[in-house]
Amino acid sequence: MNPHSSLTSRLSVWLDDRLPIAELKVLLSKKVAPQHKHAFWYFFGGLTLFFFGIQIITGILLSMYYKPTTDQAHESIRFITTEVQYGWLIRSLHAWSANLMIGTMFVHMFSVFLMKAYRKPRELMWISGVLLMFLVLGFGFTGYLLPWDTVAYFATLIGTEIPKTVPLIGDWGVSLLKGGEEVGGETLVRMYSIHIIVLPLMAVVLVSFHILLNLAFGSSVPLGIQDRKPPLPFFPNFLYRDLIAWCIGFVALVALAVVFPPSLGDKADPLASAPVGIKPEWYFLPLYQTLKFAPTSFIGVSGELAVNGLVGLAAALWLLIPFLDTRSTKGQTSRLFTAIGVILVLYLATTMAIAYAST
Amino acid sequence: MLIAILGVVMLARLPGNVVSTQTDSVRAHATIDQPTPKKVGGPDSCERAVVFLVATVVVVGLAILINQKRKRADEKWERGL
Repeated sequence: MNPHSSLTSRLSVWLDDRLPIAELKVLLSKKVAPQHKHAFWYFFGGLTLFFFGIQIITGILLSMYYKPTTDQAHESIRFITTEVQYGWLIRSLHAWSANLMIGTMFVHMFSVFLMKAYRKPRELMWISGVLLMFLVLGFGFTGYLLPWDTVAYFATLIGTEIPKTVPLIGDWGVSLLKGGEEVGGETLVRMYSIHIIVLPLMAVVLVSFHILLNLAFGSSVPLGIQDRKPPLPFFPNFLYRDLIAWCIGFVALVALAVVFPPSLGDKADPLASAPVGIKPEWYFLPLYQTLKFAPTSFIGVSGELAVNGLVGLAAALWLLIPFLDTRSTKGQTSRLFTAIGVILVLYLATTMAIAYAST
Repeated sequence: MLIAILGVVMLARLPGNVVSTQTDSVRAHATIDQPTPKKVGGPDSCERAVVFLVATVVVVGLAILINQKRKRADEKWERGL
């Protein structure tokens, strides 16, 4: 008998006795991927997960050198970029995979929305996905300050003021984010702590829950699909397709990271005046532009408060979409929600373009 | 995998971490007497081109292998239908 196979089989038996591997194998063997003309959109969920994995690996590597103090943060990023072997590449991969993760996440979310994949029994998949979107935006916000350069400092200064308009808890929210009256050392440590501990822990729990539900319920088939082929086994057939998509995503990521490495501005100076034309990251541009559209006052309340209130209400409604779209749950087409999705995509794209083009 | 290899290379350069013990002001004084540290691993265009080429060749090769396995798995599945 081959001693290696004997060892492998013995190890397999040992693990089988101690882990629910047999049940997991049954669950995985049952998982299928529907084949139809819109099946292409299924890849974006896997791509988002892939870029999230890259975020974790590159983030751990960067944390080995990064120092979250106002004296050393900027210098440590400069050190990573210019002194550490391939530090520039790891930083660039981290920055670009964050952007790509947010991009693929939005594509995944809107494709799920437009295919009404949130309908029964996948309501909790939708809710966990929307919560993950908030977490991902939180990653972007908290990570932005970490280089401690001028743009990051003033963008965070503006961003941390946004909760101030919320009645009752606004001031408390601002001081919770800043750790004091001003954006300073305490803010940097808080942002770093939230960025590398709080949000990753929450994200791992939510991602695991999201994937578990996906394993249990599989991918949804859009209503009214007629030309459906037999579903493809996920393991290994669809997984190979996913892996090829990840390879394409990785080459695109490396190309962006190599051709457009992120810059590092001058070290933040809280006493300096804010640079002209400062803008947030692209995924916050729709909110930024909407705030710019807002009048000074709107039916008795400040324009900023009105916009923040409306955005909060829209976010709550977005989370509850599976319970609002009752027609889809009954298997009927719901043109109203398709129109809402299309209008929202057009609004986000238009406001993003206007904000990007404005000086 | 590629990032993990890069990570090992990145972490291997532990000595000489100039930011570990010095504040800006201390370093400002220190640079009067000490030469500027030699620039290591900066993104010059040649290095960037090599990184891109190596990553592309490895990943495209990997994708071709995965695609061959996918074709075989699909054929096996279609025979079983």
